[in-house]
Amino acid sequence: MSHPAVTPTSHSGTGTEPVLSVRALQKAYNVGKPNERLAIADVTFDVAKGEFVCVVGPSGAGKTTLLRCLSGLLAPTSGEVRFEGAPLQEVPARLSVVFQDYSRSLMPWLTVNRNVALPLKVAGVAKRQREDRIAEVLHAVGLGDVGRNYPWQLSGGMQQRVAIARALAHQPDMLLMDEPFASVDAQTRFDLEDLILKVRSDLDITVVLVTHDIDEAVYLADRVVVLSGAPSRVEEIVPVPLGRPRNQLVTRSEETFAQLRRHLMELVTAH
Amino acid sequence: MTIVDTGWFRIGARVLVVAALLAGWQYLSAAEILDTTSFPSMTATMAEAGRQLQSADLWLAVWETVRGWGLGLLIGCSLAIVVGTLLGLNRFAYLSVIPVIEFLKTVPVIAILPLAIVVWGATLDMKVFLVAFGVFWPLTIQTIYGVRAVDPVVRDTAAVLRLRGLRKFLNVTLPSAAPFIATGLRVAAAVGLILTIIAELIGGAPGLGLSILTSVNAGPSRLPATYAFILFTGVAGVLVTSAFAYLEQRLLHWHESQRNAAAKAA
Repeated sequence: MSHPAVTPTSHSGTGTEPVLSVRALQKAYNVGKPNERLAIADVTFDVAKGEFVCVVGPSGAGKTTLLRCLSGLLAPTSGEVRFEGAPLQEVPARLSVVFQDYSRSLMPWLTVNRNVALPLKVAGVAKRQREDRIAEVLHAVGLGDVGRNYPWQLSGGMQQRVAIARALAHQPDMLLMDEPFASVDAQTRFDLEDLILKVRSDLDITVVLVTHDIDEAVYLADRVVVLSGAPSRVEEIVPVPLGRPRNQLVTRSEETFAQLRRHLMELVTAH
Repeated sequence: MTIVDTGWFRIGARVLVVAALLAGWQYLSAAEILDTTSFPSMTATMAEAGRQLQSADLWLAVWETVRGWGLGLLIGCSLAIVVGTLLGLNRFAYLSVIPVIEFLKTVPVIAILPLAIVVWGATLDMKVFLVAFGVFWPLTIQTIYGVRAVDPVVRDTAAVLRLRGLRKFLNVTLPSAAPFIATGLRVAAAVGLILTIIAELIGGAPGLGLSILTSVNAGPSRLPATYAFILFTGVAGVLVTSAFAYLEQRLLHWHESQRNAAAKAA
């Protein structure tokens, strides 16, 4: 095993080194066949430690393809993705992914406790500490005594909380989320948005969230990466100068929020 | 909720249907509408069945049948699940072997019965081979499909959670395949029982099938016994099927099909 030239640690350096670094990423499907299709043309951006970055784009912009490349589930055709300095070969241990479809991503044959235990078992956490950590992380996402239930016995919002708890269980450095709140009702969506903001500030975790919802992106993000239609390029990277903590009522009625929203809307619908 | 939905009403209706059928049988034979040389009366058959239940010969025959069926099922199903899993996990092996398996699946097991009799004679081994052979191919195919049918989201989730090797197999692959394997097992159990009876009836190995054959050969006076034995094989079939359906319900309680069943029953 060769070690990467740059070994980032939280103790050394200036701390400005990006957690995630995407360079000239390109992804084509069916390369060399008549139905070759370019999904991502050229995407470059960095995510700093502790930052909350949202990725938006028109539908069919290859957002999910991009997320799969960022997580290491899919190898890019060219370009590079580096996580904590090392090029991605597979899904890194310090990175967690939350999928949109919680009803399929949570194993229906395992109870909530056993679902959350999976990443802890992989990390080799002993049984006793595992049980403590499961209770702790379920509490952190606002779930009470549901550990013995099966995921499908819970409401959609609660299931996505379990999925978030599972993603956080082994204390990863970064959370990658693919439209995580697209399958729940509006009220639950607000609750989960606030939950993820709280989790992020409590745990000081880096979050990259892919969404088609511009309001959600502005509400959550420090910066928004706007993709063009397929094949994707980075249209613009928009900083969000809204204060924190954010509040569904106050933040969403600010003048800056409305301006950002309008600007992003123009970018996304320009095609 | 109407009276039709209550448990007692349903059970009552079923008992009534069975009673009506038995009464109809009795009437038809008593009125000699049914030929008495081929059809014994219901009461004569039931009396014979009652006598048989107290005889050691019947229970010996039942034991022989259950033993042949159980051993054949155990061997055939264990091999099928192992082979099916290995083939399902390896795309190259799957693509290479699947035409042969699809072909052997379509060979009627009865066609190899004479061969089995030549090799083993009217023995337990012959029965076990026939049952194992008969259940192996369909269950292998079922297992292959099950192992390959892992939901893409579940597969991604497993990769994200870095599940590998035995842990991935036990937590992801096997539960995903379980509904396929369970259906395959339920069918295999029923098919296996049919094959056991056939092996006894045609192959002459001891068991319920042979009891049917010998009672037929004993002439018209033993006719009620023949019918009693046929009834017993029917009961065995019902017991086997319900036992496997019950197991499936318990083990797959998390699966959508069973969840709906539970919701309907509630």
